[in-house]
Amino acid sequence: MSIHNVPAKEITYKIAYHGPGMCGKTTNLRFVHNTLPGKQAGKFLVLDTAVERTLYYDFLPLVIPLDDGYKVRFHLYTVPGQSYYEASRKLVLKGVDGLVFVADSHPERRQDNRDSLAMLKKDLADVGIAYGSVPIVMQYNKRDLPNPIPRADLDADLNDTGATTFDAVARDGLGVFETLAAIADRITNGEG
Amino acid sequence: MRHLELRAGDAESLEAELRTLSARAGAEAVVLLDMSGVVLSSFRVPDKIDGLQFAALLSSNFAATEELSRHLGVTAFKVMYHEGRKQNLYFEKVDEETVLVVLFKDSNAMGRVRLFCEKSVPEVIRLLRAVTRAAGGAAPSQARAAAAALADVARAISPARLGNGV
Repeated sequence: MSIHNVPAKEITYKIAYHGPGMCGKTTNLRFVHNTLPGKQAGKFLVLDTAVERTLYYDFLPLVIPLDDGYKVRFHLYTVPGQSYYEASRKLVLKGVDGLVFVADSHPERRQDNRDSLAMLKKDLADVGIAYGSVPIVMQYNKRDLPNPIPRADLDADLNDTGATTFDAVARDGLGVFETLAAIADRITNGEG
Repeated sequence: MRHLELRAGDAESLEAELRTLSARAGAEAVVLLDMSGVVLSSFRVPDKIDGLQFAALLSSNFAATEELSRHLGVTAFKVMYHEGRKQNLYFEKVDEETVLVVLFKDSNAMGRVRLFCEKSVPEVIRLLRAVTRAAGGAAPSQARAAAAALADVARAISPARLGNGV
């Protein structure tokens, strides 16, 4: 749910990054955090386990200050990819304004991508949101792998709504801001 | 997509209610949160606290208890309480999308905080009903300008080496 605080001149949107475990969701946020100046990217909150997997979620608040004194905030969250963290995923999806689905291009992760998308649809339904009613952008990550899953296969497996897709190598920052800019564009154009 | 718009009168009324609650309950700080993790109104949150992270943690904390209640098959928990050595946190659900959080010292009685939170909730609900909750529609021009600024960053730092376009 977007929130517009008129007297404070602030508008806030919530964006959740979803995808299978270790697909690069946290890497996306870390690149955004390391790239934007401190005034625009707030503190990066990571709640992870000893094996560096996201336990609850990552949280990165972005703020875009405008000339007229307004501040537009994009609150970026990642959800834990492992199937057993269903409860944590659902609490992140509450009130979400936009989604980024990060797919892993490793050939052995094709089924994990499909399973993760199915989980996303179920988790959204559980919090009262129909898949397709919220803007979504797909990011095909790890395109630098030697034999990545062909794009056509990823499209066929995952992109049943005809969402905009981006190739990415999030570790190197490729495709990270394109993805973020695209979901921000969809949300602020009133899609969904 | 839902949209909530707090106008000047709404913001002032909510803050006045939180101020009243704070005085009656002897609170250190009071926060009214949307369950998506955004502060709708607050009163006297200490500067040393990062408000954005505080809000995200508080809302997810309360959302976790709601999930817990579903797992247990019981009615959703309405209140939650954290007891620290010097400070305590009291949560009270306002409605499906909103929670009230009170930070108070251990010298204060939890019963007092709970009593005045319960008295405050109906007024908070009344005030929230006045706030616009419309479905979808065009976002303010400022929001679209911010999205354009992110697209500028994408073009500046990440040329289309993978053939992506924004």
